[in-house]
Amino acid sequence: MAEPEYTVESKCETTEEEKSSSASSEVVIGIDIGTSQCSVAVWNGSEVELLKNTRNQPLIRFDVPVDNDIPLGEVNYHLSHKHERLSGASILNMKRLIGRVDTDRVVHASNNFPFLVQTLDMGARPFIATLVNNVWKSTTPEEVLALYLAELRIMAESKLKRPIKDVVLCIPVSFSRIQLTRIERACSIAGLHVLRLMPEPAAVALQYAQQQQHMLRDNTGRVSKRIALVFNMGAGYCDVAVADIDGGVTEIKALSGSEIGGEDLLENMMRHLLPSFDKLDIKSMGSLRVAIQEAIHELSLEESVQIDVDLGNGSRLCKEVKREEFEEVNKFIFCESQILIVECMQNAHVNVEDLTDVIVVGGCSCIPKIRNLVENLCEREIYKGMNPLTAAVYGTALEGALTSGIDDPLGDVDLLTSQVTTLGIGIRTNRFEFVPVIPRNTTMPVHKEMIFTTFKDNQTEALIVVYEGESEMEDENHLLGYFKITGIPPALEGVPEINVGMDINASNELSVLARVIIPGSQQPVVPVMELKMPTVDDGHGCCNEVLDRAYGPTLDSMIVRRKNDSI
Amino acid sequence: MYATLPSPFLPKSIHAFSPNKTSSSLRTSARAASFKSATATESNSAAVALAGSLYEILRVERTASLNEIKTAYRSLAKVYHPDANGSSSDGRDFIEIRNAYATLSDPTARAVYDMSLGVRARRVRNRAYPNRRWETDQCW
Repeated sequence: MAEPEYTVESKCETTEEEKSSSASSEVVIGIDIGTSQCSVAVWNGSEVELLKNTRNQPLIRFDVPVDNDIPLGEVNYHLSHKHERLSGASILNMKRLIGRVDTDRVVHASNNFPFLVQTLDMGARPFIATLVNNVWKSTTPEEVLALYLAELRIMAESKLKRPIKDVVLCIPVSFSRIQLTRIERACSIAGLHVLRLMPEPAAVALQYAQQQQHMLRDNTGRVSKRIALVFNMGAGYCDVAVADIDGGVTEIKALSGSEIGGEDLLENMMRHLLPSFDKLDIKSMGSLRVAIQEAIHELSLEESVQIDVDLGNGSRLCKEVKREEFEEVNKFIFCESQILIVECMQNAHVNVEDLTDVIVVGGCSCIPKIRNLVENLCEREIYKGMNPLTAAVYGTALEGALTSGIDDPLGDVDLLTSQVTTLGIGIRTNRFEFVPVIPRNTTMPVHKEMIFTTFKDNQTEALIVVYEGESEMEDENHLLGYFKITGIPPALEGVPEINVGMDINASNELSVLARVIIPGSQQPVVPVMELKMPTVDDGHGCCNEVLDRAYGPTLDSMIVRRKNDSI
Repeated sequence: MYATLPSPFLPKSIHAFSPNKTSSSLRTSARAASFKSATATESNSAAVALAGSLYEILRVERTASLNEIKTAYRSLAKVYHPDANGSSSDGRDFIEIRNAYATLSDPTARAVYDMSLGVRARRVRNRAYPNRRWETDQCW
């Protein structure tokens, strides 16, 4: 095949040069905000470097002590005693609470925290407060996160001796778009611009791809194609990814995730050992938390462990706990993580024998039960070449370098990751039915369209309600936004063509478009509507109900799917 | 973050091939090769969008094996994916490539497509690029 020579058009040369030189001076950092700890890394031109805090720790606890009115980040801050941290004047586990409404199961499960999480069960933002001088002072997860991120930024700036603006963050697979916007907001308060939000297991897969590429270079005889399963269980979330790695392209085939993690293991153990633990005062709750957390850590190494904790007022919890006991108490959590793996492999259309490597990372990766169940399910040993606690942040730093145009003269990092959507996005039809327009696990960027039509004769308006989720019933999914198309010319039911287009760009930004066409004319009869979603914000839980009350019974603006017209 | 990437709906030239991209593509011989074959059809205006069949989008023969299709997709992704090193693409080209790959890498979908390609080439052409219709009306 003849290959014509390609000549560069000279007119764009200067502008592109300017662009690339400015790009190379920008440093993009990768941040992994964990439920219990955080880490920051950066590509230094030849490898990924973890940034340590002033106490030389690469992993930084994500607790924010509050002193008087000002929450203090704990990036460099050191509390003399860890029990002090849990005395009610400290915030933790913000990653589990961010962007959730007070009807959420995860928010409800937060009653063992050493601070106040008040839920009124109305689909609004929960009231979160810390006890300072016997006064409950309110705060929000975004505020705490922003403060913490600002400290991380300052730490990175002092290490790298240059201003930092751009960041790649990794996020749990099960995060909704509402939660993503909250993370972005927290970043912008902290003076950071989010370049990419990357699912945690995808970040791990990217590090794996880089390792494999290096191995290939050393040992050219090896096959380049790899299929890896990544299992990531941290304190707050459990995620699974299947990645197909070939020729430097890491294609994420499927993602699955759930909000289960070490926190649930901890809560189950607390409930098991002291069923009435939620009646404890904040200080004793803090002591119990710390003691049981330590016991769980020890149970990864020992068969049994002695718990002895002072609960105040002369009461004491003194018990021996066996590893089997811990596994029995948490069997549902382990079972659910197995389901996530099976589901992910099914969605990726891979079998156990197709897998090249199985990677287990995250804070829970050293629990023997977790390792066993993954090994048994995938019928192979766990991949050894990775630090389970820093794999995700490593991947985000790499992604940051890649998306911003890596400075890589030797061609060492010839990588690309193609991401998939973590949740399906669709609209409501037939009153309560959810029709996915962009299914889950669709490669991004993506553009999809679907044609809907009117439900009644001479219907003049159509309400487009956009949801994100997997359930067939719209009320189990997250409401992202809504808008109404008005001025549809009178016609018989099913005649006007309501074309709904959805776009997700490489930065995972969603836009929804709708236009109305009357058959016979190619031009839209009313101006096209385009919205960036999500448009709903606080109280997205009750919005759904209000919408139902206002528009549910009338059917005047309902739309239905037009049969055989999907494209 | 909204500033970094242009909206996919802005009327924008589809193949913004930049010198930046050339240098990154020429780093390794494999990438250079895929780049050259990519430019073969790129010289037509709006190459990807208006190219004939899905095979032309992926730059493979009608008889290409599944492996050849996969390799072609991956090398094109490395040039056209918005995240690709030095890429200035807004992702539309990648979506076209991805859609072509989705059909051709699925044996059943490919067989159906091949059949329709033979019988009603013109109608299929319209159906194969539903995305274009939107933008044709909107932008061009």
